[in-house]
Amino acid sequence: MIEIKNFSKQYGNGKRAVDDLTLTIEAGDIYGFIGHNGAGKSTTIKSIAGVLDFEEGAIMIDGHSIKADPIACKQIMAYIPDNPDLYEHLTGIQYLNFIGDIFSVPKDKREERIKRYGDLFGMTSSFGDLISSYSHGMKQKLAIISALIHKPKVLLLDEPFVGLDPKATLDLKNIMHEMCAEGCAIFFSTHVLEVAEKLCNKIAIINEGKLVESGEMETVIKNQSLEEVFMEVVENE
Amino acid sequence: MSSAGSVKSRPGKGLWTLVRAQLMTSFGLNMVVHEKDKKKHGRYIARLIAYLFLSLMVIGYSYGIGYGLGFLGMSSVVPAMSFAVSCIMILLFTMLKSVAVLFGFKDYDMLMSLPVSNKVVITSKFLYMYVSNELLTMGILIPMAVAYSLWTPVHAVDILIWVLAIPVAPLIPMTIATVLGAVIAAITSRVKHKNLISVILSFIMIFAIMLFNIRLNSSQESDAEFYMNIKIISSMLTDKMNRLYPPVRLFQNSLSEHSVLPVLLLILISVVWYLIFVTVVSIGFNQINSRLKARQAKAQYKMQELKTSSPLMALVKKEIGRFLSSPGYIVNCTVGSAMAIIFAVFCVIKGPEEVIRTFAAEGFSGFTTGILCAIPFFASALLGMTCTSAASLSLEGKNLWIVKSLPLEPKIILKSKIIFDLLIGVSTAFICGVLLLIAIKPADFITAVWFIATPVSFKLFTAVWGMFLNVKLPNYEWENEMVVIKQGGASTISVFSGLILGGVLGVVVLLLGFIGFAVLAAAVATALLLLAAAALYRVLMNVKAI
Repeated sequence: MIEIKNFSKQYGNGKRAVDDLTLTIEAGDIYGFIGHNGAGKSTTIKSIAGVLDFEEGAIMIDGHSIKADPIACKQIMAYIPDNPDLYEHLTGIQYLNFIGDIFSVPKDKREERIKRYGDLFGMTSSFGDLISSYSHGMKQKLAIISALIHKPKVLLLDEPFVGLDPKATLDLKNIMHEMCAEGCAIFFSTHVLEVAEKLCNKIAIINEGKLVESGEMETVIKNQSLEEVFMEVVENE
Repeated sequence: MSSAGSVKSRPGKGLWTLVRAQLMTSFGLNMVVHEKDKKKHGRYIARLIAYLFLSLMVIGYSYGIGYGLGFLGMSSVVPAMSFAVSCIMILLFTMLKSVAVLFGFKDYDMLMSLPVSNKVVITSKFLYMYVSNELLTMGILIPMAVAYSLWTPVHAVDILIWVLAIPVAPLIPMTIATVLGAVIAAITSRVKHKNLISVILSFIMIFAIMLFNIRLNSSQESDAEFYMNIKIISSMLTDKMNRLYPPVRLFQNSLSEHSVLPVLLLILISVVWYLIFVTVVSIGFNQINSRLKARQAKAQYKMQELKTSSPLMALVKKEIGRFLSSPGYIVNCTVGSAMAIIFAVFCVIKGPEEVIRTFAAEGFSGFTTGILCAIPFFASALLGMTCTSAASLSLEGKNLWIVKSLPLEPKIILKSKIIFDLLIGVSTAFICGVLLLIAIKPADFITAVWFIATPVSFKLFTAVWGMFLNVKLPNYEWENEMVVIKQGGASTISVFSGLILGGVLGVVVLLLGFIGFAVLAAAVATALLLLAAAALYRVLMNVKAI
């Protein structure tokens, strides 16, 4: 579903944030992406989402190139950044309806999904309030709901559990499992290694822009914990 | 604890740190120094060049006024005029900005958590505004002082007087503007419809300041009288400025008496005035800011039927919501339209003969057809001063990721911003045109057509031109939205270019009226505006990335 081939991203200052990364995320995968701060996780995710431009390598979403045909890619994709800066001047429901309009989600399906996820995350009663009045966690929940209303085939999440309460964290994990069972591909970054270990079927470790380990969770960690593997791999690099 | 104590014991250090942090982010200076990305760096450099260009315009214009007054034998007016003009400019520039800089600013929570007093925070915010206003003051006063020295014998002490006056000139108008801003903030923090009240009060105050300015300049009775009584007119003008803004008198007296004492008194008054201001503002500072920061969350929403729209309409609606959410955005981007409407209403009240007579009194007698055809361009100059498109892309700011991650082509995003600008602008241009038609009642149909076609075409051009400028000079890294609305490279260039283009086209049409080509000139100018708008629109529709 997501094919990253020899992807490199160099910023204007000459620093290679990501260097020759190749990775495949298949339908049904919950793929965790771990690494230190500044290792290149967000750069990679933003590039897959089409938010960041890049010069080297190729990123294909369901057979479409994010560079050559970004609209086709984004039509089936949803991205949630690490810090959900949403339109503060809109109310929650106005924002969700805006996203529904952009994806041309039919009215009945839009209403049904907003109600379902709104109730699940305990957000429905706050939909009439301005986003500027929301807490960080509420904004995060709204960003998650907005990412789900067009039923994406590819879900990209950058640190999705930061700021979520325990119930919302559990709800999100359940949704991820549900989507994965329906053939969706999920790629997300996290610093919470315990969550990644339990949630993901595949894992990739990035260090200083280079992919140092990737594959099936069992193959990568063997008899160790993910934390031990991560520390070992990163220190050996 | 020790670090907190050390900052408290040395408030000057805390103050400088806060001021430096704000100055580093203004004008993109920090970005120019530290940005490693060549593309972004180029943008910051372009923005600085735009500021430089505008500064040169202000300097050239000020020198021109000073030299012109000297040429007319009115050099004695120059000191008072320079001081008064800079003060009025500062009043206008600071009033709206002060609300956003001093009240309801984004880093309020962060600054309040630091071990610094309210006075230090207020002073740091005030000094930040002072630096940009002082640059403006220097841009007006220094060239006018140079022009003054060409027509008047200058004593050594006069140079000292100018040097002493320049740093204090912005203090009093800045505090007055800030107090007016504070009154708006205080009132709006207590009412439900904060934005609406804020917009209305801001407009009232802007037009009050403009009225003040018009009164200042309305002393010329007639050309003949003007030239015959230059000395009387000079003293009348000086006297008028002294009455309208008393500190001018101290500066004027200092120069005429070649004594530093009056200017020292001016410095003393300014400093004492400022200290009183800081003390008064610091009393209600926390209260006003807390109220402005408070957001009402009802949490009573029940799912209702949703209305669907096309992606383009959804984006336009988003633009409308963004616009209505910000009083600063509304006021700054509609003040030109409001002025154009006031100009048109003025024409309706005065009637055609009086309007032509007013223009004739300005030295354009004998150009009746030219005046009639030029009036729509002068109204357009006001209309073209402000547009939303020059700031709307930059206003995406931290939200830029949303439109970039959605399945939207850049052209649809830009189109939605142009449409929104036209929603406000074209409707205003049309109303303005109709009012001018009613006012002037042109005899032939062709001239009547230009009364509507010219403002509408001008608005079409400025909407696309503003968008083009914003695509070329975007600024997404802002903390205060007023930075892109009021000070942004794109919005600043669009204000001046709209005003100058409308004014120049109006004068060209007016002058060509003398040889009977006014109608043709108006037609050609309007057609060229439309062609330019179409060409720029084509360029924008081919933009690959924002």
